[in-house]
Amino acid sequence: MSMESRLKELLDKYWEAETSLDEEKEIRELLLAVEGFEDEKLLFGGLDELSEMEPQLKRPEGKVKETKVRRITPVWLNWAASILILVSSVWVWQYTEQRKAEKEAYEEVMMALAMIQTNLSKGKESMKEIEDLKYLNTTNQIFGQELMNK
Amino acid sequence: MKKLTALVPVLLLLWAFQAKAQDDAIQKFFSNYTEDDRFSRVYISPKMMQMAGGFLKNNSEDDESKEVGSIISKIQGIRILSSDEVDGLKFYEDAMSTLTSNKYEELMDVKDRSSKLKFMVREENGLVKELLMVSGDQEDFALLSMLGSFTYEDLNILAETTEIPGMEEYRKGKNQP
Repeated sequence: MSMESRLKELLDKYWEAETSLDEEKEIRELLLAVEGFEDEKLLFGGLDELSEMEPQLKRPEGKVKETKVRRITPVWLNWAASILILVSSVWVWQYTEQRKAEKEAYEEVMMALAMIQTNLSKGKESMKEIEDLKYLNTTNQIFGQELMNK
Repeated sequence: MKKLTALVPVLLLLWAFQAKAQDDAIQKFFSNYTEDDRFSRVYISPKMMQMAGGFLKNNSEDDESKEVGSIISKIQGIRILSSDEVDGLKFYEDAMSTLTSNKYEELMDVKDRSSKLKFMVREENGLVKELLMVSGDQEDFALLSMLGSFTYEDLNILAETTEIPGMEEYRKGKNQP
């Protein structure tokens, strides 16, 4: 099998994403050996170049020393976590207690208001009886109706 | 003229004293029975009114609740003294004789053979500062004092709001002794 056909075969496999690392290494070597395949050479060459690149960014040196880097030790982290849990559970507890107290207060108030209301309406009911008498005032109607019923 | 001006603070003092005396009368009536096991006493503080208002605001949005909420916000406190194992009529008379004063105006008086009920109000500058309810029958007695500042319209709303949340529970509780 010539190098070209081997390369083609491997490239086809590569584009199917089925090549192993070894086979990809072989592709690179073959690409260096054969002529043509400019696109592929660019691609693989480019990948190599990329992998050889070094990050160009550099830390500013002077200032780094001034700020102290404090490492959070795991012990501290544990403490912080437990305190956080404690604080938040206290908060949740307080909140629910507050809501419970609010509800109790509300029920108490409503009971008092209901007491006032039932008694106020008691008065209104007896007023209503008098109001109803107003309609009886039209005596003719009553007698008229009785007559009609007879 | 000088005499008259000298009289003003004295009159003011007397007036203040009278007001104080009346508050004391209710206070005294309440405190008379603080140790009495037959009575149950409820005191709803301004703080509790505030909390109840907060609860209502958080839990319902409809118009009626808003009306109730606005009334709640006007109430400063409620004091209730009640019992269902005493001769209510006797206590009713007792309360009436303690509270006789021209400071209260009668709002409503319902009497029949077995029960007596009276609503009284204390007004200041056209606002109801206190609503006092005394009711008694053969075995029940209740004295309720609601402090705050309301208009008569507020009282009307209170009388007409049938759907006060929690009302049903109250009635149920009352029917099942």
